[in-house]
Amino acid sequence: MSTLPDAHDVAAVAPPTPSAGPSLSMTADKAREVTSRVQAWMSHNVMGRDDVIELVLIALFGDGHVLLEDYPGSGKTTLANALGNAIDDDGHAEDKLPEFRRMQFTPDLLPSDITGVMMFDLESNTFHFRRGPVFAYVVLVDEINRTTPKVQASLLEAMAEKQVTVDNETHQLDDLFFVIATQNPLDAVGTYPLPLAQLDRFLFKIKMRHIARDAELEVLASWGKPRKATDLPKASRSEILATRRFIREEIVVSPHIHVALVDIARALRADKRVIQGVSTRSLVLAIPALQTLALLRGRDYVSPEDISDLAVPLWQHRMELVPGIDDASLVISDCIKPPLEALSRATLRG
Amino acid sequence: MTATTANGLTGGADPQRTDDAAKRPSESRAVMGVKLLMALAALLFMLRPLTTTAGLVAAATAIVAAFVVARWAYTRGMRQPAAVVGGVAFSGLAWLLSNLVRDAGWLAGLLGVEGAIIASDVLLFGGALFGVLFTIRFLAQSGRLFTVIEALLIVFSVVYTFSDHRHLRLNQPRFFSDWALSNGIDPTVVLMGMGVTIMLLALVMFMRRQGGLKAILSMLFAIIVGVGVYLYIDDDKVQPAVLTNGLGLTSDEQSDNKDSQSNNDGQSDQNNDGPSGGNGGGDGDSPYKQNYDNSDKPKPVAVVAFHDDYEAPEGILYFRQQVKSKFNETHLAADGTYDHDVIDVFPQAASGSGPVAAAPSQNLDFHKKVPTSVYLIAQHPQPVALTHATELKPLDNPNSRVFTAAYGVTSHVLAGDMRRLLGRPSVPDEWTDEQRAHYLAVPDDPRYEALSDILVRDLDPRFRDDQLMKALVIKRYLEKEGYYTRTETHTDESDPTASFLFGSLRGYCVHFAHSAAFLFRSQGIASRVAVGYAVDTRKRSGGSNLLIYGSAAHAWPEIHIAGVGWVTFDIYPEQSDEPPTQVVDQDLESLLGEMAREDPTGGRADDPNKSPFPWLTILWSIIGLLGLLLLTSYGIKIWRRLKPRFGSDSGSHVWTLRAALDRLADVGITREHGETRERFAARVAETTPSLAALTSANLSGALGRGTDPRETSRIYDAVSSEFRDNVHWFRRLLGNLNPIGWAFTR
Amino acid sequence: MEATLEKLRLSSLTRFIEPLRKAFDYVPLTPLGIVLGLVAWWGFFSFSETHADYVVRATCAVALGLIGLSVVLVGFGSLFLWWRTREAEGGVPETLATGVEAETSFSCSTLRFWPFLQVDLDWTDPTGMDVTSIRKRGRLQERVTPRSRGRFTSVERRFEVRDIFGFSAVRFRRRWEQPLRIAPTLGKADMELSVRRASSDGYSHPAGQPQGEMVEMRRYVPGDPMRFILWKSFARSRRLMVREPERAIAPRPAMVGFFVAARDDEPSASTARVFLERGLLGSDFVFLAEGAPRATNDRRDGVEQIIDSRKHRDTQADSLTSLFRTVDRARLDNLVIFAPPSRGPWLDKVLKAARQLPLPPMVIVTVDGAVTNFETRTRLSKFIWGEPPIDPTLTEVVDVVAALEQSGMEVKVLHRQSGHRLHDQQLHALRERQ
Repeated sequence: MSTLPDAHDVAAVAPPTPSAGPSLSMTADKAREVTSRVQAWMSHNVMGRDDVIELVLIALFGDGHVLLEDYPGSGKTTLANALGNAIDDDGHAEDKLPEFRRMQFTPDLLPSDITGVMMFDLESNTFHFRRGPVFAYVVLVDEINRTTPKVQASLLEAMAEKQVTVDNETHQLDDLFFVIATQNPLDAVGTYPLPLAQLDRFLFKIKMRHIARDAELEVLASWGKPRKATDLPKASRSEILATRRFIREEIVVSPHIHVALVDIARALRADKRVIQGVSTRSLVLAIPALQTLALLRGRDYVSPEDISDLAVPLWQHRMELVPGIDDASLVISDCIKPPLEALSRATLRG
Repeated sequence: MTATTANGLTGGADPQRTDDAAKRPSESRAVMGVKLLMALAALLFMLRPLTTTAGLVAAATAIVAAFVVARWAYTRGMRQPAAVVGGVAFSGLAWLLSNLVRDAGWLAGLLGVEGAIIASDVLLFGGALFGVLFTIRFLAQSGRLFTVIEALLIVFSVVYTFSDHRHLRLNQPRFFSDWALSNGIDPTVVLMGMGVTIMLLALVMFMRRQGGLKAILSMLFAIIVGVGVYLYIDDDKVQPAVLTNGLGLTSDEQSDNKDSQSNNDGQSDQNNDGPSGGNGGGDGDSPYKQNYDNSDKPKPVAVVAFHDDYEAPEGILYFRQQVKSKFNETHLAADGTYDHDVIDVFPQAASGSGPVAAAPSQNLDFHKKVPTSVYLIAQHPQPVALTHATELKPLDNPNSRVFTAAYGVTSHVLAGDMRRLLGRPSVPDEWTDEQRAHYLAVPDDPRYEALSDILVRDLDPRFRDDQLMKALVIKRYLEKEGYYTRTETHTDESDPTASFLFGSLRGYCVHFAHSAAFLFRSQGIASRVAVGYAVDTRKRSGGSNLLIYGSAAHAWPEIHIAGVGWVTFDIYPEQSDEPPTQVVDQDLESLLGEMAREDPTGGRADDPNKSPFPWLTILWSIIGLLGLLLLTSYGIKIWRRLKPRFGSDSGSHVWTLRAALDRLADVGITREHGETRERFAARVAETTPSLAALTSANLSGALGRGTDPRETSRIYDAVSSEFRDNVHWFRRLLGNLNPIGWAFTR
Repeated sequence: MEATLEKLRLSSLTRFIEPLRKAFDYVPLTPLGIVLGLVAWWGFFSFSETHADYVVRATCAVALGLIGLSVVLVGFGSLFLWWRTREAEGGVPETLATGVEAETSFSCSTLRFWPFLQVDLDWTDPTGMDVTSIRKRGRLQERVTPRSRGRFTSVERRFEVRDIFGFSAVRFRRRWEQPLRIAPTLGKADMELSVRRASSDGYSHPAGQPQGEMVEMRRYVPGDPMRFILWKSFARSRRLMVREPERAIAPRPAMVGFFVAARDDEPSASTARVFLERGLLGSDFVFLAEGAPRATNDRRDGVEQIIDSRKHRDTQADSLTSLFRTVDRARLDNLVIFAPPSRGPWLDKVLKAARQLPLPPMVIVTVDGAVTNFETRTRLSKFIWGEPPIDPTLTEVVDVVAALEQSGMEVKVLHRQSGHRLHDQQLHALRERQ
């Protein structure tokens, strides 16, 4: 975490204030306080996953979606659940949406099962739209690669455009539409792997490692005991949206950072171990993520450290590697070095 | 894993290893660095006297470039033929260009004479050297066998630099021997030490990838071996002197000379055949076979110390090794049957035989005793001594590394008026018939007698029967008509002497000596051919030591006069195509003479130290240059350190961080490549916790909304005080003294 | 004809040279040592004598002394090592896998405190082993990576004691009697998936046994069982649809597998092993590897056949005819041939055999190495840098695939390391390279 004195104080003192109205004017302190509330809620519920929680947080506030990849039983669902519960609907949406929905993808799922269907209403003698499970703030999509490409595609449209189209009628999703998808590792039987183009829509693909020994012990110890989750303050939808806006507008992204990002992308495309490099979209998506991380670290500007920390989760799933090369993170960490070095040197030049 | 390219690969099962597999492994970097230093030192040492400063700089650049490029090419997988062809072609091209630049007039006009020379030197020592070294380096990396070329190159450059000392010219090379001699050190000791050292250093060239410990252990062991070998070869038993045939000519030089007969415009005055002398018989080789010492640098073969002052009557001293008297179809050969007056064994101190005396032949009435000491440098089968030696005494060898033998000689030299010899017969009565026949045998060719008869016919009737006068007439004839040249050898003829005498009358000393001997013999004058050295003392400036060079080898006739003994009767042709005698190297003469007198410094210890090479100037200019560099870097250091205090506010976030990083770099704490600033700050948080804040301030200034300069300088002060508190004062002191720490700040 | 003559000449030459080379192992001088020794000898006894060159004399004396000392040290060092390895255990595990590094329990002295000396270790039998030796506290530990499969009854190591300058070296061999079996590596976890995809293109075979629940639906193709047809859907849309098992990718059942042993067949052996051990040939399969006496339907037996086929690389698919004789002809419709990526006589035999079959067999070719960077080089750059390094399995694979596809066979090219199937683009790049 940051060592800026003021950031330190905020993190330590952050009082659990009740949620304010949507028109609240954001300050950096306030924004950090919102994020720390969500983080505190999640850390309370999910043990030993602080690294993943931070990434999920970045995706939430950076307006992206995450894909978790792990073997079954590693706490993906718990994590998503915790996030959904951390968000409180403060009733400012036009109509009430659930904070959290979970979808289990199976091979026999149909697109309408997730987007919703047009129902004939006998009373009004008209069709009206019945919302599917995507109409929520936080959507957990379990085992996204178990369903057919058709269903995957409809979800991905929703993710990219924040809208669903049923019978030529477009329905807007909430601004705070956040998808946590999980998938099993590729070699499991009977899967429909997501193509690269679709993976590109996820801000992060997070490979979850097994948690630390102590955390695992704690999980066992606390199993079955009711958790006093209600003690902790939640963050409201409008707070989160305001924080997003604040991050977008107030965290400075220097032209040097833009240069470094473009250079990294070019280096990744030129690397001989890479068949298909990262897209321009990924760079655009990266900026809010970097801004969010900067906020979390108590800064009002994006620094090289942010790029260095986020490079692997940002880009590892967006590249196709030459057969025989497994580890995208190695390629990425090789490729980010020269641009970051140039960036570091630039800051020492008067 | 730092490799960023995936260049295909070979079938390992681990795909991550592919990048490295494509690269050929070469020697480790440390080993290459040591080799580079070796090559630089050795080659520049060799080239220093050969080229200009520009050439030297070009050569140094070429050496470094060749090492780096060859390593790169090898690890990248360049093919061997391509490397060899490329390297040789590059070299050849550079050489041609260099010649062109030097020889082409218009270029010289364009560049100026000096410019043309510099350009040509740079091309030759930069370009050509690069090509050659590249090829050698590449080969050495691709096969262990080729490393021998590399090692030999290193050895050669040192050997070449010191090659002037060969053949006991111990006063060469000057830069070295002057130093050694003036410090009272025997140069041979240092030279051998040099040889041992250079071989031990060249050993590095054979290493590849060694663990440090093993390499050090082995080198220590090798040094012990070197010292042992040095002590062994320093022993008396090993004779480093020239092994020659009878006349101081080495066998390989003889063959060299045969090849260069056509252009032997050397400078030595007299020449002789090289019969196999004491090695028995001598009928294998014709004595006419031409053997010159016509190299640029004549080789010393012996030093003679005169005990008394002695001036040769005609200015020429004859040192005889051997005589040839036995007629052998076309020429005279050595045969000891009757030549008892010639000493053919060395006096041996060890065997207790003591002095060796010759059979008395010379009448003391006509001779004077001259005592001398001879110190042979080249090995000779028989003792060399001033004519006519009657007694040889063993002497202690003063320096066994330089001299092969030492003995005292008592010689009987002809003294007084030649006219006293007149009126005596040549052959004394007491000679037996066999002896008489032995010294009078001539070829079965009537022309000898006919010619000699014609010659003596015009003799003044008063002296018609005087054999000395007859001999003089014959001598005059040969001197007048003969033409001394080494270009006509007559070796293809069945009878070279006849071919010379009745043909062109052009030849060299062997021809003159044999012709004279046969003509004398046909007139009934007993004669033989003596072989040895004839030293012209007229060109000398005096001194009691006489240095005999191999180039003084000579053959001359001797005649016998009853009641007197054998008399040197040399022919001096009036016509000659030989250039005048080379001036004797007085320096070497006195040096070797002093060494013979057991003064290892060659009498130079008192000389003032006049180093011809400006060591001190170079040393001072290097020190001055280093000092200047040091001052400049301290200047930069101080400027960067003080900048936060005086710099503008707008850049304070840069100046402060830079000054803080400089401090850390001074004590060796630097950021790794690719490490972000924040991570570095976190890494050094134990030393300077506030560096993180300073880094944030810097980044905020450079990438964010800017910082408050006062706040920044406050943090900077905090960093400074933390640095003072947490770094040991001694380390800080060293850091403050470190002039180049700032260069590592990134 | 000419080629055989050439081979004959070559083999007689090697027969002549090989004993000489072996004898040279015991001569403690290397070519470098001999050359340097001769130069030093000449310099010491001839040049320096005749020229009275003290520098040369000392240099050559030291060189001679060092070479002599190296020879003596190497001689004693190798005697010492020979003595110490006399009773050593072979220490090789009974089973190794190709391409997998394994540490053996064998260790020997590194002669750490002997100046000049170093010890290297290699295997002379079986050949084709990558041996790396790790020096740890004065002991040499050995790691082997087999490159090819096989079954052996003994292991022969070659010890080389040499000096660090390369002047002298002595090599000696020791043999340990012990069984050793080198199995083809199983490849990656992805291998199974890609093999599935490669073997069935995502459709289950009509004749296959259904597995899982019938949840999928697809269009009817001739041969589908009548009972799977969805008559309701037919009534609605007039289209014949069939139900399909849940598992979208199902293997062909009851296949007949044949493994061709030839040059560069190691990747192919890995694939064949994956097929056998993961049951991709179906439950009721028949498998025969080159040179095995009879076909088997036991998985373990099949793997052993693959291992043993290393010895039968010369017969080049001769066993295919015996497979045709023993197996019911109807079953040969489902023939899978595991073929190497390099040309050879086997190719003609397979083509000829395929013509006798009613349906062309499926051929699975497996390659190895990195499939990257097939830049074409100009003639000059070829002269300087040579051909770009490429795995031997990739050089001829395009020709082999073309020849097989021409006769109507279905050819799949797999990549062993990644377990991916090579797509056409990559094959095209390989073709361009030639």
